[in-house]
Amino acid sequence: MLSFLSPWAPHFPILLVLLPLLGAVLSPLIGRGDRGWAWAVMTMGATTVVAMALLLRIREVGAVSYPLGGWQAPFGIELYVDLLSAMIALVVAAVGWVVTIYARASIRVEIPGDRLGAFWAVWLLAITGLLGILISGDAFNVYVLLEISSLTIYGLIAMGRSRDRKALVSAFNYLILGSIGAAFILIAIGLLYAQTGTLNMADLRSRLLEGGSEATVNTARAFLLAGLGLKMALFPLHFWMPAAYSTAPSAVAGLLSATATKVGIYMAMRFLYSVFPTDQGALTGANAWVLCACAGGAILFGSASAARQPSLSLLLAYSSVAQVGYIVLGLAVGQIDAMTGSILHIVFHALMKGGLFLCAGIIIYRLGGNEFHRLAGLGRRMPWTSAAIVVGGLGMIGIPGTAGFISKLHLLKGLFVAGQPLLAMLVLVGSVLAAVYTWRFVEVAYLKPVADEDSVPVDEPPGMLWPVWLLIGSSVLFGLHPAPVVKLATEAAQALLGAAG
Amino acid sequence: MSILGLFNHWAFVIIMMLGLYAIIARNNMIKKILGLALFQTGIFLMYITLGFKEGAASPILQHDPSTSYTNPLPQVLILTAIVVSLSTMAVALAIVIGIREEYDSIEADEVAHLDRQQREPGC
Amino acid sequence: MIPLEVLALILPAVGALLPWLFRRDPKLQAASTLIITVLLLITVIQLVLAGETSRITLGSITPTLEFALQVDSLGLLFALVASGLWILNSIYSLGYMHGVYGPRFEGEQRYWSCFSLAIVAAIGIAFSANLLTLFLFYELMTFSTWPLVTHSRSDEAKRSGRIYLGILLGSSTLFLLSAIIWTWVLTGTLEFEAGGFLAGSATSGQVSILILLFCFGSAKCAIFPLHQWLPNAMVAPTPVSALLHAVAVVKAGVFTVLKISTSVIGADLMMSSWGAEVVAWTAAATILFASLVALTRQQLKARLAYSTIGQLNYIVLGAVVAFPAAIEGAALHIAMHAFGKITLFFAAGAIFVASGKTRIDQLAGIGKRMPWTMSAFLIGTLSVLGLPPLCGMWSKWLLAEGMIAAHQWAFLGALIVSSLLSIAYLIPISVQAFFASEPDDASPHGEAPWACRIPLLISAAACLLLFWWPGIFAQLAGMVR
Repeated sequence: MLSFLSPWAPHFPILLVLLPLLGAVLSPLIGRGDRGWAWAVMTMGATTVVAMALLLRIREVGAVSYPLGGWQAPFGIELYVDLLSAMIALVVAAVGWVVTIYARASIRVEIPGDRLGAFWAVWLLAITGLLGILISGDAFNVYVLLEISSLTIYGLIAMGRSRDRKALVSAFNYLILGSIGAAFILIAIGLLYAQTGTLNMADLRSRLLEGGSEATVNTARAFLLAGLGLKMALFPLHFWMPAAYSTAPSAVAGLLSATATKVGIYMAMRFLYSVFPTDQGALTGANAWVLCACAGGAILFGSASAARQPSLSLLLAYSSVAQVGYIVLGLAVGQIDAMTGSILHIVFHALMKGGLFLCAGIIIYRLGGNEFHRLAGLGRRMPWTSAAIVVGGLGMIGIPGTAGFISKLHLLKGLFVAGQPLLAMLVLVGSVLAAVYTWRFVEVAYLKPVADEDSVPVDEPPGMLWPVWLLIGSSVLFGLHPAPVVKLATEAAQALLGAAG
Repeated sequence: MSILGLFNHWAFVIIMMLGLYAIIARNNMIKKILGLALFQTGIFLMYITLGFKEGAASPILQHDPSTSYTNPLPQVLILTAIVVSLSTMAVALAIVIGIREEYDSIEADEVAHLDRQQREPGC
Repeated sequence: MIPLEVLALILPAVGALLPWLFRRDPKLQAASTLIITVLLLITVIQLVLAGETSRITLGSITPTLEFALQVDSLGLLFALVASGLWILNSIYSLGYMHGVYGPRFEGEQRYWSCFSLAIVAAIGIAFSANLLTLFLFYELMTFSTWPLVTHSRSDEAKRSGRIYLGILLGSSTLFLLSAIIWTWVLTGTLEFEAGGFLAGSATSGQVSILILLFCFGSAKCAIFPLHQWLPNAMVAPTPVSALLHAVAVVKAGVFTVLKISTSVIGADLMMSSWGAEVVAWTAAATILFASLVALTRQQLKARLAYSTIGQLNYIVLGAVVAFPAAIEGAALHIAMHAFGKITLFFAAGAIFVASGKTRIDQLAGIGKRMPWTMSAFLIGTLSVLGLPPLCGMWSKWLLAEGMIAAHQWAFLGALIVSSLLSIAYLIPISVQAFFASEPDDASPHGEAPWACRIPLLISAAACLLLFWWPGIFAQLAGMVR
């Protein structure tokens, strides 16, 4: 498969960033409207193919290092791709592609033409930044790429202003907090550099293992965690996220929920386990406890808040707060099965929540908003969209047969093996709360009568519907036949913890 | 090392905290942005201090082999970070212009108040 | 060639699609559904004749963790009951739903489709090869029956739906799933194995806690205090109450308990752990409690629901006492109680279709207007009481024998007292129907339509015949021990 690409094989890592970057730069020349859209779809398609090829190659030959310009690490800038980063890169590229296809109609309604100007350039640039973080082997590059993606994302969120002017305020608040978070990460990188004199991540690790001031390293880790906590919206640093996701254009919300927070979590995994020294592969002491406490708070608070929100978008955003908690919990416990569960949940949650936000977008596209009072009888008015939301919601609960079950199963097993049955109980309580907020939608959509009989059924645009079902359907497919993904995730977790141990 | 020997470290921490205070305490969004800029500048100072060496020359190759240089890497990094900070500023100001257009105000509490008013009649 | 057990899953799954395919033609829809039900029964009978078959993998998570099917005698017993009664219930549904809601009622497709999905889940539970597969279908059953419970979409239905989902999903997620994962962590496997696989991997304290988690996790068995969903589920149309809340759903709960007792924990561990004792006492208390509450209920369906709660806990009691005879009696009771109780529910629904009556005190003299229905009701009553010559006797007999063999005199007492109590709450209904005189202002009505009457007569006849020829059911139950 994809063998026609083999002459390019050594250059896959850089292509993964170059393609969307080139697409972004050329996009204003191609034009706006449908031509710009077609260009973005093509670009993302090519990027996805490269991400797929890269993952296949890494499965064959193992982790790949790519010295930029031929300058060898640690002096030159290194791109470093292993199984974990390749997996998440494929998720980002593939979900990005699907959402790009979906965005065509959605964007036309939500963003007026005169503001559409450089939309696709900004969009592709955001994905460039995210993919760049995943393949970078250099700590400072990670910071720069993070800022590239963040700045473009602030702009994308602000474009929601014509539907809801609150988008501007939430983009502004996100910008302030996000920049503070990024500054914390910058401080952490500076402290690490002061300690070791290097910025290459592999080199950083080997020098940190040689010893040095524990105080500096711990301070760096604390700053890093605080900064990343803001970026990935970890409770209690999550408050920018519901506002931003619910006011952003729906395609943007879909893209962000599937990719942006996930990349933040990836960075946490990478730094905590492949850069900072760990004890036998596990986090110890305060680090583990703080992360577990935040994750537990996220699960309970996020799920409980989700059940009380006035609109579907806000519900989904708070649900994301909770789901980030699950992933961080697995990460913090540092047990092989729990880590596998976390990695699986990064992948599966991207599919499910991406699909769900796109459903919310279809509803906005047709009904002008997705507050719950508008959704009465939606099961009859928009049957396919409602069904997709129900299936996605079942995945959030973690019902067997959906992908959410597979990741939760591994996470729970990990927690039991690590001797944390109480944390496992917390995860299960979170599932029950997820059922509560999912069923809130189900009752409104299926049990409330339609207010206006003439409005049945509403036409569901197929160009938006099939991307949704592509995401939701694949999550069910992975729920029933998850073996290949589970195998990859297990290997990635082994590599991550093994390198640490 | 004396307290004064760490003068730069004290300075960068104080500058950062001044910036953070402005972000939190100022109501005007432009002032918040200025606070953010100050905050980031504090970090730049930290990086520059990391690479600084008493009595060393700028990192431009001299003919005298015994010359000691300051570390060029942090300076290069900070050049990049300044560009990032500048772009952040630009995006932030653009958003504030948008807020001014939509709300006719750039005071955070007024904007929040307007948002709340907008929500209440709908309930 | 598709393996038979997979075919048994596919057939009702196809049945779930048919209502949507034939939504314009009700006759075709009804006919196709009936054909599917008959095909399913034939498939299950084929499986019974074939005996034990090999394991079939449906999908895998890791090399040691798979969704898989494995037919055994207990599963066959459950599948046979569910698929056999599905035919009767489909005919009955046609009569009942058209009689109550009119020929093209709203949500018709959803009704038939969810019904078929619940049967998929029942068959899946019956043929699960491991706890993971069982859990998959257990949850499918919860979700597929929720739309049936809330069928009327009234506020009451919505409230009941919440309780239904809350108790069933909450308990299965919090207790059953954590027990499954704990078992997995302790033993490294989830595959059912005759005689259990937990021995040697867990301390006795752990086994006891696991037993508690498993039994209270399968809240479909309606053990106190998690029984509340069942009376609430009675807002559903009567065919739903009849097949699902007297047979498929509740039996899935007790099947799970029985399966875990025999194939996960094992009889020896069961008998020696305090966890089983706690469950047994709770079940015995539930039996008495449910019988007492049933006495106070004037709604016919509510009284039947509490009677079901009591009868289900006979099976739980048998499963946790775990003496061979008790296990056999519990397994047999899955089948024998099903025939009796479905007859009672069919009759309750027939009364509602014909007269619109739902309360017991309204039934005075109704035996003269509806002789067929009320005779069947009487037969069902006697079978549930466990009197000869009706099939309910065999399972009670075996259960009692098991209690005696285990020297569990208290539990034997509970069985006897609850039988007496059930005489007190069931017999007066028939007495009133046949011997009390009708009030003068009664509106005239006749029998229920034949589509309602035939199924209930067949199930009543089955109660009689199974006393004389318990045949295949007794054999299968005997193989479980």
